[in-house]
Amino acid sequence: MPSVNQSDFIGGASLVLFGAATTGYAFIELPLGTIRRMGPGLFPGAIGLLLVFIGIFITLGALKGADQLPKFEVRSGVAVIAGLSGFALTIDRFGLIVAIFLLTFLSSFASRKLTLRAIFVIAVVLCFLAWAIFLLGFNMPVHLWEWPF
Amino acid sequence: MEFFSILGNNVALGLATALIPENLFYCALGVFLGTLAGVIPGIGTLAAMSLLFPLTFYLNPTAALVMLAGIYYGTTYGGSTTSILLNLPGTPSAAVACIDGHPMANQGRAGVALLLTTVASFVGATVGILLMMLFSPMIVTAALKFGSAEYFSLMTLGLIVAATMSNESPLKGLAMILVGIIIGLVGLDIYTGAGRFTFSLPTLYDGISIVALAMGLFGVSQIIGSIRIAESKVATIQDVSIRSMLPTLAECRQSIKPLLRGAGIGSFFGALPGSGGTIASFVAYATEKKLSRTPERFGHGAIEGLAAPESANNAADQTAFIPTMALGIPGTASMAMMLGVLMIHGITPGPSLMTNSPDLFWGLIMSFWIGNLLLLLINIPMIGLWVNLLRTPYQFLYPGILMFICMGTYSVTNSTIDLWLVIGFGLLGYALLRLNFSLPPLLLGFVLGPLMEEHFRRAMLYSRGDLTTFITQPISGSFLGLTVLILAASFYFSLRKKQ
Repeated sequence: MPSVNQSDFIGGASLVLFGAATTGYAFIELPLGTIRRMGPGLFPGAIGLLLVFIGIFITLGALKGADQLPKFEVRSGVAVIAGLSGFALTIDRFGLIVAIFLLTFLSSFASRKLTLRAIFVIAVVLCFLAWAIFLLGFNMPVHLWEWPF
Repeated sequence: MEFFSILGNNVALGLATALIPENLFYCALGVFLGTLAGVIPGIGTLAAMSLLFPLTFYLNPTAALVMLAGIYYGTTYGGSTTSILLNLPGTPSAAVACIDGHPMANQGRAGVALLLTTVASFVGATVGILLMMLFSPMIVTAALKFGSAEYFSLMTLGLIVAATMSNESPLKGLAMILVGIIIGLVGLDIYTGAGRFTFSLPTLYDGISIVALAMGLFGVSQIIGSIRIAESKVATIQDVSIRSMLPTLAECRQSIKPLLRGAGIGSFFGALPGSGGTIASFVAYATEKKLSRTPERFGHGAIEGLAAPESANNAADQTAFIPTMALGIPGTASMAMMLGVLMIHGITPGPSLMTNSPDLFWGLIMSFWIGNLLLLLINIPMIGLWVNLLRTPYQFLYPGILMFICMGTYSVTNSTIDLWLVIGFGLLGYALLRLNFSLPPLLLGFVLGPLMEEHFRRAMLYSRGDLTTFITQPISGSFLGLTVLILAASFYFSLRKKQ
């Protein structure tokens, strides 16, 4: 796509879709009511519609400019999301220590400078910090260690 | 005279609340942690605030409030420290501090620059707090007469100003506000109890938690974007000793007037809805440059160029509390964040707060002031710690930030649903950042959206479905008229800039 502001084009088009989905959901799933006694669907529906219009304007405006799509840091993104997901999946079943180790190891793939030993040290320090701040300091009801089997 | 004696009583009441040793301790802790989080590069004020707010959920409301105040000031100050030492602004309003602050650091005057930032913060905040104490009661008196139509119009005005002022493209800012409103509407409808956008998930019935939203948008997305950049940068920061923080007599004399001028400019802009510290600091910088007899020094470490905008920034942060506390309408994203967290603690800022629980209202205001004082006292001996923290390579820090995001989010409800929301909003935030959308308006829309709907529906009930009620009522009509004017002006200027 030459002579198109690619980030505005994609952003605007996504906004149109998001707005349309909101309005569609509100109008189909929720009662609209009357303007005097507004139902739960009227306000979200109207906001969605407004977003569709603004999205269209942003998309049209993008046709005039020229801009390359910016680079996404895929490696960092995947590593960070994997680390957070690892924590979310294990904190209830295996407890704090497993969750923090998993978080540290998975998210460390984003960095090219971290050595295995450094990662291990960071994980141990973080476990200690989490224990001291959240368990000792704030009495958070979390188990350090748990084994579901 | 009566007015001042009431004011005096209120101040005494507030001080009595804020000066309890337990509260002082939590205020100091808040300042310390806030500065710590704010100093970390790539963690801006909003991210630092959302990282630390969950810690307050385990305290009693008053202690929590006082700690919130400490966190709020700490994060702002931490951001300026990073600006000066690394030339890396954590927030747009700290960007001005880079212009003259970083050259000062390069000339070996980093200590003076850092001390000046603390003093400027204190001066700005003191002026802002004084104005707040004077004007809040008046605004509350006026606001008690506001009906739903007035509130709706005022919120519209605030949102439009926030969208158009802080952003290059007003359209994109407006779009972000609308996205925020939609996310804010998730949950059970207050009038009918119908689940909206909940997809039959019981955890979404209470709506999306502001902590999850802010952690994802401002925390996770920033980390994803910063890892590679920060890793390749090797920070060279010189030592800052306490002795080097002492300014010379000439420097003191040079900075007094800019400090006061900055505080004045900042107070004015901060009280306006939506404009906040960023504009205030730029205006203050431009004013000093114009007034100076030697404008050529600006940009090369002129002390006035640091004093005025920092003072303006902090005064604006303070007067921004006026609409937030007196009307319940935040003008900036960090105020929206503050409002959201106060609501989690069961406090709804607005005209009724000051009349119904004056101890809380004045206690909060006084703890802001004490928070600033503690900031001054704590940070002078701590500066070496902050310098060392800035020297720590980012790859050693980011797993820790992620850990805090996880534990903080998990601690609020003890459920992993919020963690998945953080992940979702992190991805959304990163995508939006890359596509050049700005995120603070989204948070503002998120907080104000549900309030706007409530007032809109109530106004419709009162007026029997007559939409003209927003225009025919004089106060509401003038708010909307102003909104239209600002919208028209901002589109005119943005179109002219493109050509």
